[in-house]
Formats: sequence, structure tokens, C-alpha cells
Amino acid sequence: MAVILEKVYYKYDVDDNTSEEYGIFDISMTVEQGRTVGIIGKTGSGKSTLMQHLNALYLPQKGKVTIGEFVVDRKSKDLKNLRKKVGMVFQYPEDQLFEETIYNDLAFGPKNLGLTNDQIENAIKGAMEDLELDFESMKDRSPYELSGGQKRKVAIASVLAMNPEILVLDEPTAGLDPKSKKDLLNLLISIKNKRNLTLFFVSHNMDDVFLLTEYVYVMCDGRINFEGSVDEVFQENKKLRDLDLGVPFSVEVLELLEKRGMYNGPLKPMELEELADLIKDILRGNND
Amino acid sequence: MIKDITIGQYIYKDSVVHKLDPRTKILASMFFMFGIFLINNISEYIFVLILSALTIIMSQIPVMKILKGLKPILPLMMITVIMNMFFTQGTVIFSWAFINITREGIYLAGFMGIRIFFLIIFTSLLTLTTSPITLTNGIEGLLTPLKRFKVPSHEIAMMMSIALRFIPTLIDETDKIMKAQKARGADFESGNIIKRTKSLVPILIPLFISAFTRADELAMAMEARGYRGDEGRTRFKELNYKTIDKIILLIFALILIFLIIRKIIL
Repeated sequence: MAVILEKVYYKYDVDDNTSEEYGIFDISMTVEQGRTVGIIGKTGSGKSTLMQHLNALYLPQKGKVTIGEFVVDRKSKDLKNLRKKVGMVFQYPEDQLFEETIYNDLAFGPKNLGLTNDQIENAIKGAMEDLELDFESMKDRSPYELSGGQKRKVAIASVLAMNPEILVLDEPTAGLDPKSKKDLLNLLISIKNKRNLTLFFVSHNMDDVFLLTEYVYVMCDGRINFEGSVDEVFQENKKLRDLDLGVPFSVEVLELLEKRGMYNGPLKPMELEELADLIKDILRGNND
Repeated sequence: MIKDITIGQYIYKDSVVHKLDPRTKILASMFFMFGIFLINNISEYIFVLILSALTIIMSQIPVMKILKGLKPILPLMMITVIMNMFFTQGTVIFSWAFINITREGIYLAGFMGIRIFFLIIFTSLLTLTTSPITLTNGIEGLLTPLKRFKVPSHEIAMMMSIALRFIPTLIDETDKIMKAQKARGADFESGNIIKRTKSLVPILIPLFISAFTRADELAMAMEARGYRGDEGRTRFKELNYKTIDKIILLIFALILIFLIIRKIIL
């Protein structure tokens, strides 16, 4: 499903006409079906507010949000069908687990959608498989006895069990250990491809954004400050730093090499393998 | 929606009432509360009205703010008034089907209404002019003499201030969990009362779990900073009765004593 936002405004304090403080301000974006989009910006820049417009937890006060065949504006009602299509993984999603068994927790969403028991079981099996959680051995365990990384996976599976077409992830790797983090990112990439999801990825971690997404929106003070493909956005190292953001590790390394006069190519973000090759070339003296 | 809940409605003003010792304010409010149920004629109610008006003026709190505090109590007030009106025995002045309205009933209902009105006005004045922390300090101060009888006054006060401190945190947390469950298709707004109550389970369980985790962490952090309860603990702001506190307490106490003695004699 494609997502189109047209001049969306949202103010927290609607009645206060004097306040110029918008949660988000004049946001327009078009995201085609199957794309992976990153949203970056410092704390308080409006990322979360924007995110919550994507499944109508917030309704735009001005402008409209079109998600597939659903049009959401100020007066929209009956949003359940829309929420079916948009899976939302909040920060620290494991805080939402509440059932006695993993199976029941995963069943909560599909049940709310009114699926039959067979459909629910299939949805749960599918979601757990996608997150590499073993159905048979885990379904009757309590979600609270799992490790942090496993809990996170269960929480994400609980959203996937609703078979969304759009998945919105807010800092999905925050607070995980390095290995769980890497595993989860890889899983997310394969889930995205397998399910042909439209993916929104909100993060402070530029390396994660680079790894996962194709197109990036940079937010500041409730507006989209600039946008572009991953390569374009991360080459704007100065602009990003001005917005209190960082750049991927590879760009940082290239900057340092440039400072030492060893490199004068574009400050393009790249995977570590590619970076290693490049450094090897530089050291061998055939830099261009 | 959930953000509208405000607890601790303290408004800062540089007034005499604000500067009173919290213990004075709590005691005076308590005397007032007892007193209001002992008075029974119009002239005394006028005296109470003047006393309340005077306190409000001195406190510099806008009247509207104080009247706002009445809103949540309104249904309770109505019920009390209606109950008193319909179920008091006495001279019947109006009768229809099984409903009997008596003269005594009307009097009692009127007095009850007025009493609750002043009660709320005075207690909201207390919370409007005293910050939650000062209030708990005051309560601790008042409970200290009971320590002799093993009443854990310090612990009670500490529990109260921690509870107050965590209300906004819990509200945020509730909001967050509610959104997450809503995104999973939960419906909190429709259905009958049983269905709606059931729909709270997915909010309450995560909320309890995080509250317990938080409590555990807080206890650890307090111990790490050397908290050992009351013993040897000094405070930044010592409570002190000043002359004005003594005068006010004396006035309120004398009025209450007068009312009690009158009640006993008559």
C-alpha cells in the first residue's frame, strides 16, 4: 500500500491559538508500495508524532493522509480497518506484552481483527517463523521469562501476526545487545522482502538507517528539513551535524581520511566490506 | 484525553496563605471540616461564607479556579441533596405517588448542599496554595508525635511523595501502552461495561509490571544514595510555626471548641 501525506499539520494544544508549537508542520510525503523509508531527526523533532499519523492514532488537524484506499483527515472515524493494514512497533514494544503465554499474546491482535481460530494459528505460526522463534517450543511459555532480545522479537511478532501491509518501526533495536541488534536488523530486512511490506523506520542510529532503508526524510522542529536517497542524505554530513544528527560510521571514517589528505572522493555511506576495500586501495596508493 | 488528569493543582502566588506552615493549613482545614457539620443556622453560614471569602481573597487564587474544583464533586453533591430531600421523615409538604417531600428534608438537603460546597472550597484552597511536597512534609510533621505509638510517619510521608511524583510518569506510561494496544486493534471505547472493563486488562498488566520494576529500581537507587529511613535525616526546609500560624490555629481551634461545647450543652 502506498502512503501519501499532504500538507499535514498537527498541534498538541489545539485550543491554544497563540502557540506556534506544532507537533508536525506542513508535512508532505509520498511513499510507494514496497519502499523502505527512514525517518531521522533529533529527540522532539516530530518523528513519533508523524509516525502516529500513519495508523491514525493521531488524526491530522489540517491536511490529509492517504493510506492505500483509506483517506484519513480531521474527522475520520472507524479506523479499525486501517489499523489492520498498518502494523506499529513502538519503542520498547515488549512493554505491551501482557498475556500468560506467547501464543495468547500473539493472538491478541488477530483476535481483535475477528479472525477464526485456524486463521489466528496460521498468522501466529507465520509471524513466529519470520522472527525465527520456534512455534512448538515457545508457544506455551510466558513472554516474561524470555531474554530482552527474545521479548523484543515476540513483541514484533505480535504486530506481524496481524498481517499488516505497512510496518512502522520506532527504534526497534534500542537497548539490545550488539548481537541481538544485528540479528534483528537482518530479520527485519528478510521479513520486509518476504512480505513485500512498505516499511517506515524511525531511528537515531544512522548505520541502521543506512543498512535498512532506501530513502530518508530528515526532520527538524516538526518539519521535513530535507530528504533524499540514503546516499544523497548521508553525504550531507555538515547539514546533518547542524541538526544534531550523525552520519554512518563509514562516512565518519572517510571524513577523517579526507582530513589527513588521504582521500578526496565523495563521502558516500557504504558497507564495512566496501569500506575496507577502499582503505586497502588507499594504502596501496591507487586512490581515485 | 488522559493528559487532562491533573493532580496537585498548586498555583504559585506570593500570598499570606501560601506562606503559612502546611501544618497550620491542614489543621485549620480539619477544624473547619468538623466545624461545618456543627453549625446549623443561616447567620453562622454567613459567617462561614465571609471566612471563606476572606481566605480566598488573601490567597490571591482566582475564584474561577476554586469553583472549578467543584465540578467533579457535583454528582456526589446532587445525590446527597436528593437523598436528603426524599428520605427525611417529618412534616410532609408535597406528596406524589411514593415520593414524600418533607419540610425537614428540604432544610437538611439545603444545609448538606451548602456544607459540601464549603468543604470542597476549603480543601481545594488547601491544595491550591500548598505544593504536594510541602503538603506531605506537613503531614509528616503532624504525624510525628504518633511515632511514640509506632506510627511510621516518615515512611507514610515518603510513600505519599513518591506516589505523587510518579503519577505523571504512570500517566505517560498508560498513554503509551494504550496506543500500542490500540495499534494492535484493541478497542477501549465501544461495547457494554463488562466488555470495556475486560478491555482494560491489556493496559493494566503491562502497567503493573512496569510500576513494580520501577519501584524496585527506585528503592535500589535510594539505598545507593544512602537512604536509611528517618533516622538522622535532616531537611532542607524546616517547618516552623510563626506568629501568624499560631494566631490562625488559635482562631480556628476556638471556633471549633465553641461549636463543640454548644453542641454538648444544647
